[in-house]
Amino acid sequence: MNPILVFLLRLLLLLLAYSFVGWIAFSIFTDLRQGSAKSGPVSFPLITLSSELDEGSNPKQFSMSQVTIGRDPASDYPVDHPTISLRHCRLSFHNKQWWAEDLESTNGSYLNNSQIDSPTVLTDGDEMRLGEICIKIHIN
Amino acid sequence: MIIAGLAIVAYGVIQTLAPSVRYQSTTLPLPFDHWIGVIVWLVVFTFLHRQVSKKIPGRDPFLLPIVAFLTGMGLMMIWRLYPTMGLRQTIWMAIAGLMVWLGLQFPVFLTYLHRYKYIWLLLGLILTAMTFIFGENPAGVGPALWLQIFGIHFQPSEPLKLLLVVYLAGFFADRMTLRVKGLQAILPTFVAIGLALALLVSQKDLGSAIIFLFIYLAMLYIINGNRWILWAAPLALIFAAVLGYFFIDVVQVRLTAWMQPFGDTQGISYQVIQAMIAVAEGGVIGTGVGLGSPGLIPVSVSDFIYAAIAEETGFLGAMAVILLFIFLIYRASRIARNATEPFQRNMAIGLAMYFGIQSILIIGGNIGLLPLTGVTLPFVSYGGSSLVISFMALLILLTISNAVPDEQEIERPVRSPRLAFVSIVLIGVLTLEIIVTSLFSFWFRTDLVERTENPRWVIADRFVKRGDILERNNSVLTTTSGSSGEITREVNYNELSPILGYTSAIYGQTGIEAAMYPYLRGLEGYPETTTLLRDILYNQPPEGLNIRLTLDLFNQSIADDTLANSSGSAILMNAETGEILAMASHPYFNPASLDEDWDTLSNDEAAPLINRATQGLYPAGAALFPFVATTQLTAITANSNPDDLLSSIQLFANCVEYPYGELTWQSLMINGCQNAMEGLIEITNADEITAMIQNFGFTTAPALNLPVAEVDPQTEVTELTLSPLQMALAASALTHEGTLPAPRIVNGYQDPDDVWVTLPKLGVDSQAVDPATASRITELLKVEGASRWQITATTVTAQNEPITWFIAGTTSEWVGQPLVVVVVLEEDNPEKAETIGIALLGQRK
Repeated sequence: MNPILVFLLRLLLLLLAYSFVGWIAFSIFTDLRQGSAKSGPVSFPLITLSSELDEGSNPKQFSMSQVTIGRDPASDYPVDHPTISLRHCRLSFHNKQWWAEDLESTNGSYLNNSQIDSPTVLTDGDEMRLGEICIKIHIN
Repeated sequence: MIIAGLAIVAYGVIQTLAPSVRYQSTTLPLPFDHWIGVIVWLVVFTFLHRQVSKKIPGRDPFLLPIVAFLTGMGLMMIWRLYPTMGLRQTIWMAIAGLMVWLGLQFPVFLTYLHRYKYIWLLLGLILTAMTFIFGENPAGVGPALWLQIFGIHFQPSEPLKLLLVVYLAGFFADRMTLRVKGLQAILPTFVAIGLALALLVSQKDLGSAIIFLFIYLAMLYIINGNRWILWAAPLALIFAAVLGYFFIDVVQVRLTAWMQPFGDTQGISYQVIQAMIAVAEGGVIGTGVGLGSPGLIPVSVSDFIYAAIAEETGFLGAMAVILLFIFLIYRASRIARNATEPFQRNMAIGLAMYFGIQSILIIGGNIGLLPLTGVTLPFVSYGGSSLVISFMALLILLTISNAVPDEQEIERPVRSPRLAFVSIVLIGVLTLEIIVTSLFSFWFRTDLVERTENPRWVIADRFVKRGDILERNNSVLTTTSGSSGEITREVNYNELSPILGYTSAIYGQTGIEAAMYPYLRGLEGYPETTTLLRDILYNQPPEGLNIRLTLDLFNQSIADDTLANSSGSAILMNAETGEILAMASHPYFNPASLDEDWDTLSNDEAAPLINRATQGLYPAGAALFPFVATTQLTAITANSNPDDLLSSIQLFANCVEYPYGELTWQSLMINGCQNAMEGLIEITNADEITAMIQNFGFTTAPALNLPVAEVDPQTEVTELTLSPLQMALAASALTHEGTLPAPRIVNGYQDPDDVWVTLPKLGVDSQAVDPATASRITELLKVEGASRWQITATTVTAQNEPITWFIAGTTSEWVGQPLVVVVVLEEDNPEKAETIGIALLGQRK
């Protein structure tokens, strides 16, 4: 009796060990597939910004998931105007939306004339005002 | 996680039940101690799992389960091998778990690691340097690599590994922002590593030194991208190996053992051979937990735990362990790839290399793929410092993986071809190790299991009854006593010990015990399904089968009583069938006290361990006279007075006894007159003599279930040396119709249904001389008034020691089976030889 029980338990041990190994392998595999789907062709809509200074003639399109706006020339979208802070606001794509976020700027950021005090969702055609500058937003 | 838990619980249950299977009894108390390990393991990992989920929800979800499983497997194996060590390891595991918890409370520790990297490195180096002064070895012997604090031993080289990774990661991270180019950029690390290596090498901790070197080179390559490392590393390694080979003994020993694993199997490659055999014993599904004998591998609990796991859970269990290490490396390098902060990234790279290189080195060492390095298998091996440090490494990896925000994954990950390349190489080597393990446990399994270095038969003998050895009338010569687990061999008739041989755990087995081992051990004679089933369920062979010999205890005791204290041998044989009825070899020994007396016995010049009847080679001298005479039968018949044929020779010189009375061929032969025989040889054609020697089997070793002496290649007839067995067979040819019988000592075995099955003779009979010649010779040698022929001869060995031969056989007047007897005494005593021989024949003088 015992030997057979032990034999079955030995098989069970191996079975469990391999279900464990298999589970990990499977999870990693599915994870990899999702990962590769994510990192495939651009999976977020492009955002286009055009500011008053450019007067609509020079809209800039971004293929990044995060765009910073500020007076700092190292910003993704530099706007050289005294009412704009060095790092004024950030646009970023997550949870399938573009969000705008004020970076504690001196003169504040406004979306469609309401101040942004917490991350806010952007939609196509929205107009943002940073200090005295208006920025039009296009999302494809 | 739950699966891992179930598996470890199953492991524990098997371990509880295993002894009852092994001893095949239900009365034994079952061991429950190791459940402490199971429970603590469950508690520690459940707790850690909860904590980790709460504190760092974004961590890599696979690391903890992988580590939990590996630790569980190792812990259970350690409990199974040595419960006291199991308890200690359990405590260490709890401590390690606690430290991980502490680390989780203060996730800023990473910054501190980074900031104070020089202090950490210095601390590690100082601790290691302290082993020079305060170093100890818990085992009492060996390199003093441990420090003792409050009665606890720990090995500073373990934390040093981790601290080194911390230092390198921090250094490279800082340097990266400064963008210093060239050799200057790595010079400080060079110094640090050189210092660490010098410390370790002078402390003979070469395993750690090699790991350091590899981690350093790998990090240098991946982080700094120094391409030259790819070709410089192998060169440096070969250089180090050559240097070590000539200046450090251990390196020389390990390298030699690696290159010639089957060279010195009892010495330098003993460990590796034992590990390989253990892996082979495991086969595909393993011997079963608690049913194998991994304790036979030296240091099975730490260095060779992989082999131990392979033996008890088989190739499948071993592969699971390697696969988990592969996943571990994969996940760690993935964390490294996704980490954004340079220090964290470098840290993850270093730790991936740490786990990868260390597991590769020790697993490779276990299976002989790489030279053996005495390092631990992370998480699995016994060793507190190693376990704690591995857990720390886990903690760091978990924390780093948590710091990688999900959003970052959307961005195209940083390309890191060098990291991917090195990871793939590591995983590739581990895969290679899986393949090599499968070779041992599958393809070369029987070769390895049947190697003489495999001592597992001793264990089998201790647990399962070996077969009895019976004489021809079923009197028991050798049997077993004791209950399962402590069965011992019991010998009833010591005088037969050189023939029956011994079976000793230390010195192996000889004689009938060795020759008939498959039957006595139950490996043969059973239906294959029975042996297979016993092997799978119990990892034991079935009960041994009894064997019956042709020896007759009645004749045997006559031989032993008459031979008494003389050194020599006596054989009584059925001339027709070649069955050996009595075979004595004196002096003999007491098999029961073999192990204690071994030194005396094996150095004894009288060689009591040797079976003189089959292994002793004695100069034949004038004992060959009758056989020489067969070649000159016509001449002998024509010249009944030997003087007529051999006129120029002193016929009476060199006789055993002066042949008084009428000079005849008979009197010359009976009295073993060497000169007369040599004279006869001289007038005979050399080819005829050679043919005669071959026909009487003097140039072939008889096939018997006993070790027989190598054949003497000497064909110079006067210098021929023969074993008593060969002489008995040749004498049988003279006695019985010129046929040279094949000898037989084993009659048969008693099959599982108690039916006696006769085993065939190993050799075949052949015709030595034509029947008429044979009977002519025996008539010539016939003793007046008795139904036998006989000759006596004395000679000296090459060392000038006297030898007495007495050869006799029955003649046609004898009613009953034709018999021959051969007596050899290692003294000049024809009288005694004759007495023994005639008594054995059952005749009167």
